[in-house]
Amino acid sequence: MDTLAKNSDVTVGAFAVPPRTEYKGMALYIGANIAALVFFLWSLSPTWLLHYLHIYYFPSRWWALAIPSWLIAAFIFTYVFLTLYNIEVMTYPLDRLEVIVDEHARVDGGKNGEYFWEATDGVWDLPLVDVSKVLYGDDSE
Amino acid sequence: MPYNIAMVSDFFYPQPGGVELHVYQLSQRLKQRGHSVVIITHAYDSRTGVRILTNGIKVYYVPFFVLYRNSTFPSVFSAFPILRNIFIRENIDIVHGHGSLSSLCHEAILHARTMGMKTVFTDHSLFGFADAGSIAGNKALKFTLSDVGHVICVSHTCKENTVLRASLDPSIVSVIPNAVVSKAFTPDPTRADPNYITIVVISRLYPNKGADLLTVIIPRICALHPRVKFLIAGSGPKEIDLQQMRERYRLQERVELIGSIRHEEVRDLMVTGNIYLHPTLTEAFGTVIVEAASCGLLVVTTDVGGIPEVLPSHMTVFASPSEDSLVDSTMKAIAILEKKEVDPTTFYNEIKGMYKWSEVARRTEKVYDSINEESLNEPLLDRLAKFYACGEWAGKLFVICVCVDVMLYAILELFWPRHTIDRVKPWPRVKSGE
Repeated sequence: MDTLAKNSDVTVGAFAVPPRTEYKGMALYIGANIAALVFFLWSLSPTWLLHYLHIYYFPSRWWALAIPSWLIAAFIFTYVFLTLYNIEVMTYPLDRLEVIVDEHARVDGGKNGEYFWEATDGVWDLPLVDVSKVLYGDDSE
Repeated sequence: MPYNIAMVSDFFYPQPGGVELHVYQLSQRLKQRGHSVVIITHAYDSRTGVRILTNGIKVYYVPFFVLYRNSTFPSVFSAFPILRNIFIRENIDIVHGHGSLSSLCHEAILHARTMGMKTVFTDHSLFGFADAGSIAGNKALKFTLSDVGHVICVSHTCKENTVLRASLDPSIVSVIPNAVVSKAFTPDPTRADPNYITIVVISRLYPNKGADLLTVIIPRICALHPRVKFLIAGSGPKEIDLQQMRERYRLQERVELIGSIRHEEVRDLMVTGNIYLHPTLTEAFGTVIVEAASCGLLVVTTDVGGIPEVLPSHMTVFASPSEDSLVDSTMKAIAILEKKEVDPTTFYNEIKGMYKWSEVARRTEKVYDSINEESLNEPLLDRLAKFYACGEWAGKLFVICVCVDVMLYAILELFWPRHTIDRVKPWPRVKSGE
């Protein structure tokens, strides 16, 4: 798969993956693994083991618990915040004019209302009064 | 059998662009074929709520927080309640998502599968494999496409790219190219300035569209040829660079920056030019070069991605995406025009029948027909197994996401039962009283 991906010229034409990217990726891979190892050694091993290894000076291991807990709380809060923001800030109340028309709207039903029944190249908003007539008017039954 | 189709994409009118146009035109043609189509996108500025467009196509502008480049916040679950409500309200059978950078589209496909609906995904762009953004994006794509009904790509290059990125079975990927409304792109040789060679560029000015290359090659071409003018339409973060370049080389007379234009104005701008320059770095299809050739312009383009598939070779001068090559190719194109080796106004008749939206809609309908609901809706455990196979760590994460999604669905069914949701009245098929 990797050779295929590398040879594939779809990766932005002439700029195939330069070797530098591979070096960076390799360094990142090793770095991340060492970081994870150090983290688990620090957070999980008992104090006597660290003392036995002559490591006396290290951050309080309370942080190993606190930071992930905070992150999870922040993660869950994001959902709450996002939902509230969408509903309370982004959604207009029903009496606002923007519910019907807006700055980007170009309202036109065509000269004889032909935009109601034909495809057009440009994007037009149909006038809402006539839309209601088509959908809920007496003769539509 | 007519379907009720929901097109879901973060990218739609009022934003200009290829995906937006594709969604609109495809919806119109599917509607003409007797299907019912709604479009779901996120709110743009004050354009929020429901709008009815030409031909009675309904668009839901869902109020949702926009994170970056008009893509909604990738939260995986947040849009489920409103999407479910719309799907039930509109009696949707098929959910068709567009654009791999659109998180709303990914969400819709995931939730639609949880609700047991048919799903289709159309990929419009190419991505690399090496940088951090692409790696994350490709993982997300793999997640949604692990359990999709069918995938459509806009060119063969795009298919190859998508299959590699999402580790798909190529047999569920179809190629349906974009199209143009050719009668809206007719040539008009009288409009071009006979004293100058006018080079037109219409592009959103982003780095991946080659805006940096454009900034470098314009002064070089202007220095090489005294009778060249540039017309540049489009806006974006690189607009400032172009303005500064114009100031620095004192090219105000010869480089005109028009800013963003509407799609209907494209033709009138194109016919005032002789050459269309397309310096993009990545492109899956490139509808704009078909439009340009149709308008009777000679096309100078980079040969990246799906572009070499698009036009017959006598309509284009190819360049590699580098400064020197683009300058050479542009000078070559100017020479061709000055010697009158080809007559670009004849391109229109050749292109007329090549790319038609009605054909795109017919083929898309075939794709819808081909999806077998029985084999798609397998037991939950089999579905989880597919996600689990996505990667050592990612697989486990995906399984958790799907489990949460299934639970959310149960909660939504419990607290907002189906029968409490109003069903819409369908748009009448023919004008009443006729």
